[in-house]
Amino acid sequence: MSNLPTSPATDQQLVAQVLGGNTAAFGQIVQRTEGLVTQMLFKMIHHPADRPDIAQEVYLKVFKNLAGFKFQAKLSTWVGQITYNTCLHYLEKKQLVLVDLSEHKPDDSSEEGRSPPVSLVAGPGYDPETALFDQDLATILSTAIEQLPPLYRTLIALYHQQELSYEEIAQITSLPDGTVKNYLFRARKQLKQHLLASYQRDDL
Amino acid sequence: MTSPHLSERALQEAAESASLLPAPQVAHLRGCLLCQGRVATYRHLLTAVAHLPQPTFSFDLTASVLAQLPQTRPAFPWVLSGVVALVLGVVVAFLALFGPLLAPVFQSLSTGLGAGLVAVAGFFVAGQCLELLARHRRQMRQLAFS
Repeated sequence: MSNLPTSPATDQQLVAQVLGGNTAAFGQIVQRTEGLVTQMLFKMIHHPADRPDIAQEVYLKVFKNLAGFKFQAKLSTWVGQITYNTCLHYLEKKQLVLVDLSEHKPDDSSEEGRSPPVSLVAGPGYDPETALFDQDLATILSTAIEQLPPLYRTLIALYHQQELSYEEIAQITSLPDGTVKNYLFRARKQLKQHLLASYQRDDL
Repeated sequence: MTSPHLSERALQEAAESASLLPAPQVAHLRGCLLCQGRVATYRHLLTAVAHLPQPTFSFDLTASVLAQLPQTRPAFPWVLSGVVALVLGVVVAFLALFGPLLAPVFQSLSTGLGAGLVAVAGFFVAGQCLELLARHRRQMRQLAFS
């Protein structure tokens, strides 16, 4: 008897199995979405000890509300929404701020001609790979990302690491597309400033 | 070069994809080494961000979640119960209708043979019921742990 490779179950099939009483199928849903959920939890929840409980809470909510999921969005997007809202609720309880808008100027984009000092800007012959070891860059970037507001950290992770589209991120966060793009723009800008400041500090 | 340098937003868009820029900005970028360098910085930054290690929990999240799920009670075997009730109904109806006719036949046979036949029939019916039950349980197990 040959073991033919079976195609992985679709989200719809998995949901139907779980609703039919097959809790093991829920394990596959967790495996498919835990990268996204973990990424969001690590970016939004500062206190490491709280993350496992919140992860459990997220998946219990997913399990309990699965019958109400009608596939208007991708399953992962819906799980992301629940994660985001659960984290928001946690932050509200702890009276923490997701993003402090007061620290930003009204229009960051109107900076035509304003640029970092030339000495900090990569020039034409600049080879970034030789300028800084990737390990160091990763450390600098991780530090820089940690210093961003939780929402910016989350958006950077969703867009650049989870490779979600602006529309998917907008669905998860219930923010307008334009706001998502604007926040991402500010977050990248802050990261670049941090990176360039590190170059200068290291006299590179 | 008379056209202004690319804005911060345009630099980011160019780092993502040059196709996002309007034609005049693309033309400027082609001829401006300063803007090219700034775009390269963003491109390097975004590539590095994309390759940062993914955070993970130190425990098996899937197993932990499955252990916390509310236990679902196995559904009552309505189909199996229906089949059993139907079989019993047919047997009772058969005995009610033809019992008086069958009684003299059995009375004419020896008591031992009659008892034997009844016992065999009883074992047969019981065996069928047990097999049905076992098959149902097997199917439920496969559904629950597949």
